[in-house]
Amino acid sequence: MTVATQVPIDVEVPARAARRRPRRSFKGYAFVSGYLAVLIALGILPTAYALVLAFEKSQGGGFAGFSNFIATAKDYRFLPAFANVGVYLVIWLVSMTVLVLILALLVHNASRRQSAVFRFIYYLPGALVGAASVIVWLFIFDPAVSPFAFVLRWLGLHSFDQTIQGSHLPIIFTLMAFWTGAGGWILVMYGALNNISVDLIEAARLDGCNPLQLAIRVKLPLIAKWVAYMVILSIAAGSQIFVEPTLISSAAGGVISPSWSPNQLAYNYAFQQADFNGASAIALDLLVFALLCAAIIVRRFKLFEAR
Amino acid sequence: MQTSCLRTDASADRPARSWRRRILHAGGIVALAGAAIGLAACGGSSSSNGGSGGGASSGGGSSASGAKGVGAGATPKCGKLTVWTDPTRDPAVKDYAKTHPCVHLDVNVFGYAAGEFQTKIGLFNREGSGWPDIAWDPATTDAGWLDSARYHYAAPLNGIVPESTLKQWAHNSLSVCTFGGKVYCLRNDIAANVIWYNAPLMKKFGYQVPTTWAQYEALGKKVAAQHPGYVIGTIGDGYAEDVYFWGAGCPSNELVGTNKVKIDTTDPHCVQAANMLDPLVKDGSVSTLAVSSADFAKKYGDNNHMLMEIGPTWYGLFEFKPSFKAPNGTWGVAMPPTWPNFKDTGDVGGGIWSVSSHASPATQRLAASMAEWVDTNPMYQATAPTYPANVNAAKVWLKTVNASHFYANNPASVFSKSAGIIWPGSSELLFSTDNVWADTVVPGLVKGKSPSSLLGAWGTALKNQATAFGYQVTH
Repeated sequence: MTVATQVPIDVEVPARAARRRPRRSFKGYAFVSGYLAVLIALGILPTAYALVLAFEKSQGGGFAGFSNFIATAKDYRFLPAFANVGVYLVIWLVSMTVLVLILALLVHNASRRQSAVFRFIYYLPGALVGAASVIVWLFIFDPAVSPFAFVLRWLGLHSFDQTIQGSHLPIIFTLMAFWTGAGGWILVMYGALNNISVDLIEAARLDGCNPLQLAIRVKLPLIAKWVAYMVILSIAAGSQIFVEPTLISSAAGGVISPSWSPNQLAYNYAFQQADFNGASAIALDLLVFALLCAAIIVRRFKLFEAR
Repeated sequence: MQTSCLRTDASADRPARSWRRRILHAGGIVALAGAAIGLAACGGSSSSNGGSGGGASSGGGSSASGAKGVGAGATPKCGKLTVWTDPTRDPAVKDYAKTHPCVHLDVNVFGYAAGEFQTKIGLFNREGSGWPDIAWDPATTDAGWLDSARYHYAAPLNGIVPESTLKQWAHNSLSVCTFGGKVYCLRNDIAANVIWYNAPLMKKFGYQVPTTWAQYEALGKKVAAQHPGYVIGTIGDGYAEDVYFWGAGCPSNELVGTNKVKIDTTDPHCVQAANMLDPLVKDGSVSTLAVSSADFAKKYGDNNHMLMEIGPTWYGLFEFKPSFKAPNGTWGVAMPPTWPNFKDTGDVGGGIWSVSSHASPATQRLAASMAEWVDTNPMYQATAPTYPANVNAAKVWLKTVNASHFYANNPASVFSKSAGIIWPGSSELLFSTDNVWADTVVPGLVKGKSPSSLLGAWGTALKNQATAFGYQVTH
């Protein structure tokens, strides 16, 4: 039957398809053109520029080879910055993935009305993003003004400086990132879960799956690619953390290093040391790190393979 | 009103009362973070104090955009100037515009959020154009980079401003602007550290205002024993370096040559300050909270538990009054304590005017004359919020300083005398040393470590930072 249907298509359709194809392509390009323009202007071109700068000598111009990368990697702030972000990423990615999936599964299992209410509640914090959300957290973490001061004091934290001491920062940034970012991902996962065939779930139930088994053995494997996308994008966003440490440090009189994260270090290189080449080298380090992580995840989850 | 004398680098930003400014910072920071990766292009080169790094290919550094030789000639009476200033200094600029109708000013008023000025100059250097002819900077710490090879913005004023005029600035007040023997900026205001004492409390407790650091230490111990919960100082922010360590002659950031900085926190001058602080930090009479933090306000400021503070001349009107609602007559001022081997005092803040090295000689002369006018004109300086660095302007200012009735005693004499003993050994570098104190020492203090035990870590961090910025570090 397959052969029978393919033969006439192969023979007869090209003329029609050829007529249709240009119109389809045009629509597609028109649809993405706005995004493409912004991507080129604010993504690809700056990246290409950073690539040029990273291999240019900081004094006098000319090809610098890897000297900017070597010089910045030898900087005493370089390894601590990457270590800080590494610890943060591990804590954040693990906790976010686990909690987002649990909450998405719970929402998916809830009744339609409950599900709608919870999805709305989860999404709400996402409305307060960036600097504004950091300001809110500044108040929350300061025992002098926090509505949750009793919790902080119970944890033995009696001043803002105690709350934001170095070893607490990865957890603090995780809380901030989860607060603003998790809601959106819960909705995405909920959408992915909704894509699973009702028949499949019904069949699994008939086969004796309890809700936990259904979640772990049926639902999760089917939304694995969505989880992979979430992790890739979260690594890219998390490795570039900048606003949170900068604002918290500013609010606390500078008790956090201005080069806590690699992105801050790059900023310092560019705007304190006037070394845009070094800054670009660090920016490329971050890009390579994010791309490597993405490549591993893509390969592991076979993201680009058709089902 | 914004306190222009406050440093605006990240380290010195004032948490408790600058939420709005911080939000503005955030917006700028987010925007600039994106730009950090890709934007911009080169920088300057040639220098007086700067490091080896960054920069140069299109903007600064070249003969076309580098410091132009200022030829002899009279200062033009008319012309056009691009001026950058902050809201606090804007009235002075407006006064200048009124009295100089022949000079057309293109004024850009902005908030000087942390790093904003430096970022803009850096980007203009990449672009090769856009610099203001004359720029206000509310942070003396910025003098370190303004003239440097990396930024190459400030033009030397020697030859433009007569030496006799430069001598009218308070003793050592131009040292922050002086690199390699040349003066690169005009200081608008100075902020020597003095003793601030709570007069009613001191009287109630029967304490005398100390005149030496030994007496200060003894007072702290007495307060801890007799009135626990009251404080006589704080070391929880970067100002601790300026107050206690510069006030002891500690060489934590002393430029000793072009691109050469002396950093030795094991120097006896540093050790004596740290040893003095150790017992006071331990017994709680010196707080490890930042004086501008909400925690400090709640614990000491709002309930009148601040017996004494050592700090700059603007502390009263710009910290104690607005933050702690201190009633008039509460805070008196006295000369800063002295060491047997050191009689100077440190300072915290002060603003500067710089003239662009990229402007034409005639424009530079006109810009310098404007800076001089603003710094010296009694029309503005008489009621300026902070102590004028120009001695003639200061005389006028001192006559009106007590008109606010804020002080428990007339501070004129103390302010005037302390302005004359500011230690010149604390140099402005390409980075904020206050920041290093804040992010290295304060976290240690929070964990319960003593100041003296953190001297080594502080010194290492300062040296690391100096090396990263291209300085040669000496002991």
